[in-house]
Amino acid sequence: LKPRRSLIARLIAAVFIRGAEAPFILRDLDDSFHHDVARGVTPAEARRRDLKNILASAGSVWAETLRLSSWRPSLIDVRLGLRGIARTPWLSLVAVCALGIGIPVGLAPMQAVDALERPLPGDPDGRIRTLCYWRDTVHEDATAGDFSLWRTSLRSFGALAAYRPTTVTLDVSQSGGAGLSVPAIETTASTFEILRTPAMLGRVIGAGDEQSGAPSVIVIGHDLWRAQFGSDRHIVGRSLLIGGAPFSIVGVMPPAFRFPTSHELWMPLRVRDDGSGPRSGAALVVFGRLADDATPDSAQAELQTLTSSLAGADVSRRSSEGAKADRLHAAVLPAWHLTFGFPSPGGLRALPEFALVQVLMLAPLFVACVNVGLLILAQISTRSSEFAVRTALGASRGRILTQVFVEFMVLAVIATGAGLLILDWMPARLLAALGITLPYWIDTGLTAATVLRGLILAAGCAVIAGVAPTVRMTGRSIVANMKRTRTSRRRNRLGGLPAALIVIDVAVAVVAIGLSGGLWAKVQATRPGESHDGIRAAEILSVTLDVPSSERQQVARAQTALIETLRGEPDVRAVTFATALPRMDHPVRLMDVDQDAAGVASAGPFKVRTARIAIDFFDALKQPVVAGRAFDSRDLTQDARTIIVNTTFAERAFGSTNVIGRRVRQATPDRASAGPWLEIVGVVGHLGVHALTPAEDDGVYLPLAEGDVNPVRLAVWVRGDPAMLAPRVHELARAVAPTAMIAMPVPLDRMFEGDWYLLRAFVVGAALLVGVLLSLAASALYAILSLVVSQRTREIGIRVALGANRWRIARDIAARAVVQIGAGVLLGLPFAGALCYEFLELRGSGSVPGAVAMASALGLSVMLLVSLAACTVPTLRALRIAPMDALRKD
Amino acid sequence: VGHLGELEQLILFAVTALGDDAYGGAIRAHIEERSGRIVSSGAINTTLGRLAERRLVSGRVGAPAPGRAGRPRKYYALTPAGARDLQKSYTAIRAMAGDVIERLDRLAEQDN
Repeated sequence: LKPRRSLIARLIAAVFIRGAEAPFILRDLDDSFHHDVARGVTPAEARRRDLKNILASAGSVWAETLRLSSWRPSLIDVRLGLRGIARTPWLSLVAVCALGIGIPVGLAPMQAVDALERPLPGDPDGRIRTLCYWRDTVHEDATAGDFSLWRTSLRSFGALAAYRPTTVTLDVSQSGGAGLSVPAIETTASTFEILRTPAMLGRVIGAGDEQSGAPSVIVIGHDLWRAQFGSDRHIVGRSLLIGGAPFSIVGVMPPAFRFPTSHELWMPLRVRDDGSGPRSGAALVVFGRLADDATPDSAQAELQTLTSSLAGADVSRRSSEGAKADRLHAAVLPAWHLTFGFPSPGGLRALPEFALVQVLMLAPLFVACVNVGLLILAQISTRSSEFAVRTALGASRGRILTQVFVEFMVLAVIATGAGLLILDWMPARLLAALGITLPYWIDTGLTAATVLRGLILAAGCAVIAGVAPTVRMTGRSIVANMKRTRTSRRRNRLGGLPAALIVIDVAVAVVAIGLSGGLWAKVQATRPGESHDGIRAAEILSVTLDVPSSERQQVARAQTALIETLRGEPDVRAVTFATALPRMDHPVRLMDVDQDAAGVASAGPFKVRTARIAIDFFDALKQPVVAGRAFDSRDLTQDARTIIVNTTFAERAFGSTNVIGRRVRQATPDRASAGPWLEIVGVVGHLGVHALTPAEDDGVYLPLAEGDVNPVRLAVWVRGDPAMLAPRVHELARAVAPTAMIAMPVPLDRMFEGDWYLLRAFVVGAALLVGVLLSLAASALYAILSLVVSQRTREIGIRVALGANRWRIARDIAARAVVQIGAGVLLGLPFAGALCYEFLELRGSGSVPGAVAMASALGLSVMLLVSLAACTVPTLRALRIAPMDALRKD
Repeated sequence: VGHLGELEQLILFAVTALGDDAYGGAIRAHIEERSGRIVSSGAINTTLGRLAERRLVSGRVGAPAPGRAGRPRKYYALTPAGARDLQKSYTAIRAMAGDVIERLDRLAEQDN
């Protein structure tokens, strides 16, 4: 048997060796292989030589095709390109619209990261750095003990400062107003030195103001000065009551200063270091300016050396079950870590999820480019005679490609300009509409880097959408092009790939609409306020209480003191605490259940959401225990192994049998290990352990005593608006537990945490994506139909002249679009329904059929409306074609 | 008249040597056998295309052969213009080489 050439080699040759000379080259490749075999080369060696020959040949062919000498653009190319745009205004408009939507969407993630990771004002080189601790992916603030040590020991910093945020209530009744809640910070005087910002009026906080016993002074922000004090230029020296105590205003800051985020009032920090060393004392945010001879790396190395003993001695103060004893390490990080709790020291850019988001956001642009490219391909086929003539007159292929590239580069640059304007205009409005306040130093406007990225994308778009179709079209010989031009007058060349793309466009749009419809339904179902969980969320203030101490007794004392003090407040109905409150993220665990009396074990393990709760938790939130009992002091003893389950878990794991006295234990997925058995002592109803899917809110509760866990979430049930109590909580915490840190005092109905927060983000993202995809599908459909009409002008004219019914002609034209839309809708609907059903975890929820039906109906109706709108204009154009126009065109 | 590159010269010599049987595969084999240099089929064909544009060679398409996907060979022949250019190139090289060949040999041997 004669050796044969490998299939892969022949495939590569067929795919990559193109052009007029390809048949002869392919024949020569074949000859060369057989020549090698004939002269005694082994079959394996002959195949290797064949593959090498093919690859080198492909390289030579493409190098010849794209000879650089042919690619020098000239002004004539630009002129021809502009003329080409003017000749096809509708196509140009569609291309600009599609790319004008896709480009800002593609640029948005990087633009957002640029904005969020920007240096502070007055620090263009990023010399201001924050000092904090990291444990795994969790950022932890420094403490007064750390600050005291670092300030005296670190030589890498010219100055170090510390602050802690708070909220104060100004008594502005002297000026006719009521109590005003103002975000403030208590800060060291060095903050203003590091930020190099002088006061606009008076002075900033001085070192003397930090001393105990010094007069109480404050510096106020420009907006507060203007709004509450009528821009009184003699304000310095005036006294102001804060929480009933007088403070003297010593300065007013300039308008652009709201450090660290959007703060309007600055007070001296008077936290005493109790001398117990690092990781002790009040939690503080620490930052500094690097010394002239220091770099971020040298500062990091110095801090690491200083704190290395901590890592060994550190014992995780998070005693909650499952918490890992990760090594604690101190870090010197860019200043944007002051404000954002990024889950990585490297910021958002370092997260793998960011790359995924970036790719997803570039997808619409790629779809846009391919859409436009196919339209260009369809349109360019009408220019094949032009290219053939130009080639015959001596224009090289490179010159024609250059002209097309210039033509589409102009389009892409126009689209990029429009896209950049949108990107400059929209973020600030969007954030304002969503009620999100960014730190004062963040500017969502365009940066030079974004403009540069936009131009690179524009060049990429011009290549994909313009040059690639032209390469395909100009690949044929002059004769073939001329033949094609002649035959094209007789039959419609559209269909095939563009039609398939329209079907896919419509299908993707239907899926996106269906998905966002389902998400919207889900958000509506879990909207705060009237809720399925029975908690009066609008009356409950959630507060995170963090006591920076590894001493259990110290943590317990601080937690008890604040809880008892809050209970004594007149407007407070009840106070309780837990590791997670209703509507928050509850950690997920696997649970096994014991055998019943007949020795039958339930299937499992079961996925449940867990929380550790104070023994008065259900009583404080007025939630009845439907079977058994609530926790009491017996459950806090070391030997007690008790648990309370909710009705969903009880029914799923035990069916209709009595669960009191039955046992459960924590398990691993492979059941290789398990925790101790815990006896079920009570059953409660739904308390919102799974805000998204109430039907899957299997939950269990474990008892929790003061000091067991740090930090904890306090639930403060108040009369009236819980937000009004937030400043008071800060004041009480300062009074009874000075080292404690109060964070995120938010009414429970505004708790944007965990799944629900993600869902909202998904809805916003999906809505944007739907808009982009709808626009693309509509523009592609419109352009294809327009081209169909323009190509059939002669035929339509003759049919009209022969007395054909105009509506029948219109029906013929629209039929094609209807078929494509229908195919797209039919293709997309099952996916939309399946996504709603599976992805949104709607199984078992009472709203499943409704949500899926609504999503499907929405997808169908929106797509039909858009498609019909896209069909209308071209169809009307077809109806207006007069026989004489058709003949004149021919 | 432009200059001839090294590969162009090799191809033109091969076309001359092969006479009526000068097609891509044969030219490639001839160059490899005589000079030891391996040139891809693509490079030979594109170079021949360029030489044909400059009218230094003329091409004719042969009859499609059965069993080779019906692909024909393309045969090339040297034109008078091609012969003149090749002659000039070879003369120039011979003139440049002249009496330096011996020195060249000695220098090359020194390396060894």
